[in-house]
Amino acid sequence: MDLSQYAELFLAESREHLSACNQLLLEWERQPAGLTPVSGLFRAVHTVKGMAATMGYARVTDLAHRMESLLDVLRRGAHPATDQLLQLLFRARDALERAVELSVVGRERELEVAEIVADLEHAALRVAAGKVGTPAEAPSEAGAAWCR
Amino acid sequence: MSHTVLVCDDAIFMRTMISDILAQAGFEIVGEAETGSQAVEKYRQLKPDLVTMDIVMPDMGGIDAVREIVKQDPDAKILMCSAMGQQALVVEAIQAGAKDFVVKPFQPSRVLEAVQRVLG
Repeated sequence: MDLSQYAELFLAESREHLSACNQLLLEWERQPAGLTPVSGLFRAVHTVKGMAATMGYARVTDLAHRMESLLDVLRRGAHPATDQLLQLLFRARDALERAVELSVVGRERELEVAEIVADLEHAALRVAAGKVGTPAEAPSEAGAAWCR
Repeated sequence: MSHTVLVCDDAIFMRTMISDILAQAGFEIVGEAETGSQAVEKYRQLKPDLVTMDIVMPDMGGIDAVREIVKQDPDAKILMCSAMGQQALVVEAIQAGAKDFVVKPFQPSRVLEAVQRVLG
C-alpha cells in the first residue's frame, strides 16, 4: 500500500488536532478543575497517534503515546491543572507538532524526543502515584537515562 | 452484489484509508460517521452489511454506539478498529456485541481477513 498518498491528509488533520490542543490547554488553564479539556486533549492526541502509527512514523507515535498516557492518568484521576503540568503539556504539544512536520518531509531521523518522552513518562508516574507536584523535581537527563 | 459498509472514525485520514482498502477489495462504502451517535443514526438509515467502528470518538464513543446498534439489530456485523493498548476496551466492545477487531496501524490484508471473518 502506497502510504505517501495519505501524507497530505495526515498533515492537515494532525495540524487541526494540534491547533485544537492549544485551545484546550488554554481552556484547562482558565478552568483548572475542568475535565472536558483533558478528555478533548486525550482524544486529539490519540487520533494523531493512530494516524502516525498508520503512516509508520515511529517517533511521532511514541511521543503521542507518552502524551496520551499522561492525559489518560489525568483524566481518570480528575486531576486539576497545575503550572508544571500545563508547561509540560504545552512543550509536548510543540514537540509533537515539530515531529509531525519533520516526519512528513522525511526528516524524522532529525527528531530528538528522548527528553520530552522521559519527562512525560515521569509525570505520568508521579500523577499516578498521587504525587501532585509533578515533574519539577525530575531532571530531564535523569528521566531520559532511566527511560533508556 | 457487493457488501455494503458503514465506516465510523472521527479521523478523516482513517476513514479514507479504511474506505480505500475496502473499496479496492470490491466493497461498497455506503456511508461514513465521525461520532458514535452519527454511527447509530446512519446504521438505522442505511442498514449496511458491515460496520467498521473506532473506539475513541467524540460525542458518543464506539462501544456505546455498538450497544445502541445491536439493540436496533441484534444481527449487526460490527468490526472494531482499536489502537494498541486498548485490549480491555476491545473485550468490552465484544461483550457489547461487536463481532471482531483489528488493531491500528492497519495492514490491508489484516483488515480484509477480519472483514471476511465477520461476514462469515
